Amino acid sequence: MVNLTEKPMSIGDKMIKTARRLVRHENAVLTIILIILVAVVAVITKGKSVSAHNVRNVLFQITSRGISSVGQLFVVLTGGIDLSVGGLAAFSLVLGGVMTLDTSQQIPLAGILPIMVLVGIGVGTLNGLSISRLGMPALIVTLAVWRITTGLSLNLTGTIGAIPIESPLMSLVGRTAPAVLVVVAVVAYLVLNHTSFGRLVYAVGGNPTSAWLSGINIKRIVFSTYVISGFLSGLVSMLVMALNQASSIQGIGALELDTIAAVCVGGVSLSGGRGGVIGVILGVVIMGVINNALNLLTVSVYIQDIVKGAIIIGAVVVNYVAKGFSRP
Amino acid sequence: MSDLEKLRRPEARKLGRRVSSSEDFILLMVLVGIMAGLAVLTKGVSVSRANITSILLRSSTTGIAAIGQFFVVLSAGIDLSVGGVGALCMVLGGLLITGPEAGVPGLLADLTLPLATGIVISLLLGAGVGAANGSLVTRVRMPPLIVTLAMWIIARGGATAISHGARVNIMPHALVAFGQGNIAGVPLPFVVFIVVAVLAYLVLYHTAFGKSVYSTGGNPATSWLSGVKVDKITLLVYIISGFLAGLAGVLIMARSNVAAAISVGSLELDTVAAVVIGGTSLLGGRGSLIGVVLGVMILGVVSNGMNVMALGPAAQEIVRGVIIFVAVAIDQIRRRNA
Repeated sequence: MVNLTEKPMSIGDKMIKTARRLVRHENAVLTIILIILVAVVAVITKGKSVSAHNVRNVLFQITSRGISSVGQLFVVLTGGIDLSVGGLAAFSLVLGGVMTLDTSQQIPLAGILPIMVLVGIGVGTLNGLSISRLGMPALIVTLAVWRITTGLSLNLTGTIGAIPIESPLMSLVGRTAPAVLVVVAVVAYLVLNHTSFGRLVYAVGGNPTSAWLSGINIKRIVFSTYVISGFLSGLVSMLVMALNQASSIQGIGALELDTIAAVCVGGVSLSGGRGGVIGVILGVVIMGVINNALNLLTVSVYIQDIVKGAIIIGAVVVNYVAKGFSRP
Repeated sequence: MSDLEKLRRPEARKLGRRVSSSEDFILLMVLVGIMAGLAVLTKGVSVSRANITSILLRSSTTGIAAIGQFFVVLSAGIDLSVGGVGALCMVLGGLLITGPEAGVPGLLADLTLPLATGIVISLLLGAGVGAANGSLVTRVRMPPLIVTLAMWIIARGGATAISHGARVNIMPHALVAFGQGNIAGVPLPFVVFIVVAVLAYLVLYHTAFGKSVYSTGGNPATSWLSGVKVDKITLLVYIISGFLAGLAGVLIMARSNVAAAISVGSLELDTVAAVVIGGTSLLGGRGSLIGVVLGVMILGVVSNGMNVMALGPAAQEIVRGVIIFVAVAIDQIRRRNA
């Protein structure tokens, strides 16, 4: 629109204009919410939430959830879902733990870690093949795989217990964990926004019919997203093992629910085609802060569950309304 | 249900209000085969009188919830909240109909309502949660998976919160008598299951509503154009599912004389498994009630068999997961070759 009058915009007008643009950008809104949240929580917990010890805890949670949520992002962008992430991470972790006990072969720790990641890739491949080639519904496949991997991890834990696994390698991995998250996030951002693969992912999710008619190999794209998610689950299992310094699965928890919550809060469309890494990371941090606050305030675990579920629904509803009642 | 799946495999869109009865027959054979196999493996223990009764008791509650799940899946949805809803209704009902002697702290526990009132409130709650699910799916257009998943953890959290994680003991005598009673050896809860199944059969295959459920799932767009109130049907099936989940919870409480959130077990996963084993298409529009009933029995027999063979809970989880996976895979492969 041409500004026919010569009058330059006043400072006030400029500010209003930038504010409008900022608010429309949802990641900015999320950041503001996050800042307010951190401030409010700090006040409510009388400063406990910003103690060094607590911040370290929160970072631990955010690292594992963040990496896994990036994987979930890829899957959800193509309109799918991966409910197997928690079970897979647990299974891969416990399997790694079992392998450290295998004294007959003496596989060094440095060899076990890649195997754990490979297990993640393997199960991700299983998911991807069943969903893209066999055409099985993503929900059922990942749900069944979740049951199987959870059962396997419980079975194995029963036989070995929580073995402490301390080594310089573990400490190194543990210290670099947040960096891993940053690297994963940056790589994911670059892939999604600056490679043809990323563009294809959005295309397949946004309008599968057109994508198919355009000759895009939907099966390959969908398959890849599940492999990515599986790979990242393997990565998470490695990091959790390092951070726990043991083969215990403590800290994995309901990973699948947390990734879905992060994805919903991050504004990713559940039918695919819309959403980005920055939003998901912000979602992870917000959920991490909320979970941590609830823990510090000694809110019962059951209420925490209710809050988590309410947030998922609330986030989707808010996004639905804010985006003009288009499909969520 | 994704357009993508419908597009890539048009053969999966074959609709049918009744999966051919030959598929049900195959399921019956599978059931008999598994029972025979287990009888041999357990040296006859699995077919003893007491054991069969146990199977019937367990399957009755899963079955009732599975019928509700069947309605939802037929309409191309899914209800993952049944476990939480069942637990919530059971715990709320349990707290309402027992007094402070039940050993649970809190305001609700001190109330002692008449049995009938407590149960009715409990069932209404189930229907209410179902209505919430349905509204979110039809109005906000949220994917049923996410809605019911979130509702599940909310309901489950609510159930454990109001019971403070404890078990509510000592149910009213009338309730327990019903839950543990039988007619000619058949446990009463199982009779309830059969009654629900018969009612569902009549509704699905002999009313316009039933026809609408099938067509809504099969092709919502065409149904809407033909005047079927797709949104209303969708809302109703979720209400039915929530109600039946509540009924299942109440019956669990009746048969075990305890109301505890954990008694529900993995109800949501089991109902989906039963529905899938029964040959229902998760894309909607296709499925047979008889198949679902057989699926429930198969699942019940297998679960019981694993218990009799003293398989650990972790191993049972693995087996259940494998069963679902294999059942869906077989279904898919069959669909492709059909």
